[in-house]
Amino acid sequence: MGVTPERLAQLLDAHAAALELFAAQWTLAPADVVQEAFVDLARQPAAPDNVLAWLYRVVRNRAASEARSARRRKRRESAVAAGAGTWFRVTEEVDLDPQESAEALRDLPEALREVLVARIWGGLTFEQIGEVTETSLSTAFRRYEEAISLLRIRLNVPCPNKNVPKT
Amino acid sequence: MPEQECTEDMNDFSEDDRHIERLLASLVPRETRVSRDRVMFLAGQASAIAAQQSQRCGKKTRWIWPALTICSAGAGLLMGVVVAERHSFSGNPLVEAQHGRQVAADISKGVVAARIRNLGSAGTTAAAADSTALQPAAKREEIFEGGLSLSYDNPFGLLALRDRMLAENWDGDALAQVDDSPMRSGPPSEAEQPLGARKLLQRWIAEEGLNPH
Repeated sequence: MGVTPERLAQLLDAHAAALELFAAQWTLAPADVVQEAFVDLARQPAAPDNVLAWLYRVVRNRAASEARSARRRKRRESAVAAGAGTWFRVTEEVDLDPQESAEALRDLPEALREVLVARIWGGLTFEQIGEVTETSLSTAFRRYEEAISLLRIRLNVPCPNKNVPKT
Repeated sequence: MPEQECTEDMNDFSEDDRHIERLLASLVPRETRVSRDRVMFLAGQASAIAAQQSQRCGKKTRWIWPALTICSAGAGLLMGVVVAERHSFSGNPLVEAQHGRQVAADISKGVVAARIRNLGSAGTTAAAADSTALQPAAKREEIFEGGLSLSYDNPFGLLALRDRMLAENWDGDALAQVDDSPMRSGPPSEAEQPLGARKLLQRWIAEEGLNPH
């Protein structure tokens, strides 16, 4: 049996924003890619076993395909650079600058960045991330660790226990 | 932030790394530009089209198995008819004999009436004689003297004769040959002569005490 309309609406409300952020790594039109992914899901005769991982995989494949079909690389890069600052909402509660964080994410290697985005904002487990990226669980975790380390250096985040005297 | 998975590596995650995780998780993705209403409309449309297509495929494929069953049953029946027809026309050579050669030849042609003329003093009845006209096999059963039949319709008569021949150690060659060895001083006596099919039948009828028609 396919996905019910109620379930589809639930998934849309809960995960559309994170999926769009995930797709924004590759494409200029992440909203279109996410919309097509949900329509594809409605078309399936039977609901996938792991719906969230399925959505991320479809979004990834479609977004990557869109990136490859871009006619002019320079135009794509400048557009992506222009859109980088709009990945995150600007709020007062955050400790990190959204614009700077988005730029730091953009500078990460693609393999590390997609794992980080899927884990932190997508809420996927490392096993699910392995399915999406077609790698093993341990590879997904290793890439995540590496991404975190690089961001720590890039964002120059101070150690929270730095000033605690050693006993 | 998703719950931590129970892996040994995750336990080695440093406090610094966990701090970075928390800071990153505090960033909220921008509001989605995906139109909820449009997605639900397109999803419903796609779902309905997919259901129609699968229904059409189902109708077409529904007849495949019954059609295959009927075809294979028909093929089996046809094969059965072919095999039955072959069996009824197949030759069933008995043995060749001097006098039985004609009998065997007739039999091999599928002739029902294994007519043996001049079978003996019991004679053939007029009906039997008249009825021994050559007929195609499986058309009628021919019964002649002593109730013996040599016809395809009654293969047991042929089988019984064969068994009798084997029981009496009747060599087929003896039936087929006349001992015309040049070493013989003269023609073999009647007792020495090999029995032909006709003489064997005569003897058999006499021994069984069968009454001729």
